[in-house]
Amino acid sequence: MTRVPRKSDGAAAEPRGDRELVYAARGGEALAFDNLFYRYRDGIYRLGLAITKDPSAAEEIVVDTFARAHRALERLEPDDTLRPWLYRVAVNLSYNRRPRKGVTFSSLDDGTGDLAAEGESPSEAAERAERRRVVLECVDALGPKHKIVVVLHYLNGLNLAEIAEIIEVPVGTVKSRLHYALRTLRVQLSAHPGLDFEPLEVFGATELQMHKQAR
Amino acid sequence: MRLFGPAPLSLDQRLPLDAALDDAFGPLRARTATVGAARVRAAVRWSSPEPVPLGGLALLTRISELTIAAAISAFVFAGAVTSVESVPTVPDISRDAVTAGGWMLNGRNAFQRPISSQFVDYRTTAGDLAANAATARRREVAAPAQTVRDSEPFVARP
Repeated sequence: MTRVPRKSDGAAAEPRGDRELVYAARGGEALAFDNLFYRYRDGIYRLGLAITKDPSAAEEIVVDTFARAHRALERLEPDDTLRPWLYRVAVNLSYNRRPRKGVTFSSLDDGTGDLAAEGESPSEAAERAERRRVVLECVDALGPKHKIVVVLHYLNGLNLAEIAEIIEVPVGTVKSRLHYALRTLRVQLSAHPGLDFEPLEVFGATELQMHKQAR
Repeated sequence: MRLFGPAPLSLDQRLPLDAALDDAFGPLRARTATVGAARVRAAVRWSSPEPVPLGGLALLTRISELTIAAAISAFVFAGAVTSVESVPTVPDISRDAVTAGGWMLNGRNAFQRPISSQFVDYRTTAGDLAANAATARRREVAAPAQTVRDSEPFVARP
C-alpha cells in the first residue's frame, strides 16, 4: 500500500532537509526558501491541475500556497514535516477554485501522452489514450473525498499516513476511502468493454458468498 | 469472509487497477509548473500583510482610542435623544375637557364649557353666554368718565 514518493517532488541538488531549509529561510536566506519552492512546486502544481483542470489556476495555487508558507515561516514548526502542511494548503485552495458545473477546461492530458511510444503502432497509442481518458473520467466521477485520496496516492505518490495528515482524518479513514474509491472505479471500468477488467460477477464475490451461506 | 462490509479487493483485482491508474496519471505526472520563486516573492511583497498581534503599549493605545470613540458616540447620541425629548408638546385640552366634563379654551383663549359634553345642556350654555354679556356690559359701565375741570383753560374751546 505504501508508494515510493516521486523524485520530481524533490529539489535536485539541495542536500539540506526541509527542517534546515525552514530554519535558514527564517533567518532571511532567500535561497533556502527558493529551494523549498522548487522542491514542492511541481507536486503542488499537479495536484492543483488534477482538481481544477485549469493550468493557470494550478499555477496560481502554487503561488498562493508558497506565499502563505512565506508569511507563515515564523509560525511553522520546523520539526513537523513541511510537505503535508503545503499539500493541505494546496488542497484547500484547489477546492476553492474547482470548476463550476457546466464549465469545462481542457483535459488533464495535454496530448503528449497520445504520441506513440517506441515500438507502438498508432492504433495501440490511440487505444492507450482512450483507456487513459476513460480512467480519468471515472476518477473525476468520484466524490471529492474519495477523489482527493486517489489523486494524492496515485498522482503525488503520498502514502496513507501523509494523506491522513493532509486531509486531517485518521489513517483508517483514508484506507477506507481509498478502498471505496477503488471498488467504485473497478465497477465503472468493468462496464467499459474495451478495458480488460473483470466483470461485475467476479467483483461481487462477497454477495455471492452471502447468498451461498444463506442457502 | 466479511458479512457487514465490502470485500477487500484481491491482489489480482487490485494490480490491474493500480496499473491503469498509474498509466492514466502518467502524462499529468510529467507536467511541470512554469512559475518561479520570483513570482512568489512578488506576491508576498504586494499582498497585504497579515495583522500582527498587538503589544502591551499598542493594546493600551487601541483600548484608549476605542474608549474615547465610544464616549464621544454616547455623548452625541444622548444629546440627540435629549433634544428630541425636550420639544414641548401641546396638551390636548379639548379632549381632557370633554372627558372630564370641565372647562376648555375656546378660539379666543377664554375658558368655556364644552358644548358637546353630555353634562352641559342648553340652559348652562345660555347661562354662560349671559354671563359673558353681562361682564362686557359691566366693563362698559365701569369705564371712567372723562371729567373736565374748570382750572384747565381753553379746554372747552373748539
